[in-house]
Amino acid sequence: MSEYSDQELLELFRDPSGSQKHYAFNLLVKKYQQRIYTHIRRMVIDHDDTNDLVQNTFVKIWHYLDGFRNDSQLFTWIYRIATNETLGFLRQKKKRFFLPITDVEGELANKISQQAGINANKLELKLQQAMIRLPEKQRLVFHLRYYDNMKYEEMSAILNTSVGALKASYHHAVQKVEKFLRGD
Amino acid sequence: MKTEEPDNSSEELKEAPLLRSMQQATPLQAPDGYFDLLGARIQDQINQRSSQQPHLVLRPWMAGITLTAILTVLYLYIRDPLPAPPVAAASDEISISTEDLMTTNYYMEMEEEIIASALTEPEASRNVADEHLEKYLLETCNEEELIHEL
Repeated sequence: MSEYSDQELLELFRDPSGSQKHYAFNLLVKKYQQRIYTHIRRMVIDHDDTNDLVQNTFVKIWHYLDGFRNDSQLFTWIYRIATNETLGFLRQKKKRFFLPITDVEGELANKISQQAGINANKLELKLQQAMIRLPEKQRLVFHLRYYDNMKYEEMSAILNTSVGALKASYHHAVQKVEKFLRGD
Repeated sequence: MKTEEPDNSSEELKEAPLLRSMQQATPLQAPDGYFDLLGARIQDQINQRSSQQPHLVLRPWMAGITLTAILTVLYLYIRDPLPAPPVAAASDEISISTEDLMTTNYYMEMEEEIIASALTEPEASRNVADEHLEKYLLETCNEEELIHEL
């Protein structure tokens, strides 16, 4: 699958005959599914919620890919859709149950230890709990930088935030998480 | 995006030794075989949604607007009720057509004289009336009564 670049996938998808559309989209799903799944899962924790959001994300990609302009890279565009879906889901969840932010955090923290797919030692679990305490956007910044080692310029395109603000946000997130891990 | 040697470990994590020492691998993993079928599930979703007819989705703001509209109409009605409907006689009058009048012999019952006087010129009719009036007064009233009347 790695032999296809984003540009090649786009050209295949937009092939005037239309015969390659499904094939190209399937390749695109294969290329990004794991990264998008992980990106969303870190935010919502629960696998079933993640599954719904991953599917919604790719369905939207299918519908809007024809209109994608090459102003940005395809992967930042895909990440942006996934991020918007995720943040929208978390907002809806708070609204639906009239939950204050602390209760949502508590629910997510409980889920971390309950998830069947989790494979972590004590310190890693503590790290997950520390991240849950970060505000949503700061948590996103932390995930993209700490785990994915994403460049700030790319994060800026996804989160529509300046590079300076992202650097500051990550710096504060690192301090908060480290403090929690030390047990201060 | 993930590289073998992440460049965020050196500078940005220098004040966070615990974070730096960790593997930087998320413990949240998908169930086994999940990604094998994901593409097919997404295609199913796309096919399902394409076949569905677009339908109206009721949203809270729609309910709000509807309720406001109903309350406004109610308020206006209570404050300034609608005028009473026209009485039956009026509506009957409106409903009578020329054809109805013909069938009830309305025109037939009109006196011939009235029709004839209506057809004469106004000037002539006034002169005739004046002559008749003068003759009537001369025949029926004496001078004293006439002066008294005037």
